Amino acid sequence: MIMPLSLRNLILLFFCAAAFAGCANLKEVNAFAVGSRQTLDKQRSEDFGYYAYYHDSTYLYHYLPDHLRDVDCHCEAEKQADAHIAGEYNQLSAYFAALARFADAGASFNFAPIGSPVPAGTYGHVHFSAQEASYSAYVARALSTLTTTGYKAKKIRVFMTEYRDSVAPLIMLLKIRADNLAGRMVNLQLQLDHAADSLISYAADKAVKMPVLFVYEQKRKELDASLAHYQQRVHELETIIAGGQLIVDNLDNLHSKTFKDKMMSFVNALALNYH
Amino acid sequence: MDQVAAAQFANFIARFYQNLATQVGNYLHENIGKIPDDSFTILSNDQTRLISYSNTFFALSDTIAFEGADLYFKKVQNATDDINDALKTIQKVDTVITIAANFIALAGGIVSKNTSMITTALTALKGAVKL
Repeated sequence: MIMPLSLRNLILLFFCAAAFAGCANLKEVNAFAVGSRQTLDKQRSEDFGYYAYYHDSTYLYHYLPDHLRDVDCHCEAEKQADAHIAGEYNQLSAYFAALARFADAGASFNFAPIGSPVPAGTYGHVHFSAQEASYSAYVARALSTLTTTGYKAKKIRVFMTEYRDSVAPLIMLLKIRADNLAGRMVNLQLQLDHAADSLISYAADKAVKMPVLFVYEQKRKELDASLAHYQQRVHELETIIAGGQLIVDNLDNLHSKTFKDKMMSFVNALALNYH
Repeated sequence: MDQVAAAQFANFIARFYQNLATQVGNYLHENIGKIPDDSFTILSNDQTRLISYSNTFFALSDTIAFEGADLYFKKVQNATDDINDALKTIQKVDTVITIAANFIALAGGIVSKNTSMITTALTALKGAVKL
């Protein structure tokens, strides 16, 4: 039996529309995952971390030393803490790469080695709790499942269950940690103000005032720039948390225009910050 | 109290002490050379201790929690809201010194997880704000 041309066209049109709609359904999720990955990669490569902070705090909180050795920074452990935090960023970045690849079959990513989960412990002044270590281990396990053969057959619900149980809490802890470090930078500025105010007001020799003032202004600008980076970091992590939650809350509603519009607002916010 | 909630409380209380240290710093900045030297020294040392406690809370993060912490943290949070408003209008140096001293005692109570010290400091703070 020969099918009428108009009916064949109609069926063809239906399949094309269905195929197109299938891609378009996850296009926003893909864009969000790509944006989140780029943001996390950028944050991971920023150079001001616990090591730099403790290096500065060593002499700013002890600004009148008797000897230079009094302000030596014994900050090797903090360097290790920075490396562990970079490891957490690496895991989260790999998760979003996997989600992006799932959401768009045409997308290709080079997965960096994920590395070992972060071990619990105290590294100088930085503490990684057992719960944080368990989130990190959970993400590592989930990634090996999500990125191995057959991942395309998985459902987005599986990705988002992993997200809710381990990825979201880990991002939240990273956000709190970044906010804590930003807070400590503000304290460093307060200490710098306090030291400069005292030195300028009570310096016996007036000639000392100008170099104190100049060094103060220079250091203040440097701290302002680092602080702005960290405040931006906190804001970006909040955007990722809100975007991820939006997907979790709309798993049965990913086709709606409202969802797509909201998702794209997060994508645009991440892109704006990234550029 | 779960880890994230405890870490958020530590961040909140650290920010509060930072705010106090900022206010004391602003007060000193405006009044340096005008207030007596001994008052300057006391407040200057208090500011250093407030900054130090703020740093401690930032560092404690989720390890701030202890058994039954929710109840005491709620009391602290309520008190800080009231005191924050009151602090904006305090001008007398002696009152600033008293309040700063009581906040230092409160911080000591939280860090050492000593509930009676927390309660005593909160009561003293309420009285000090009315001065």
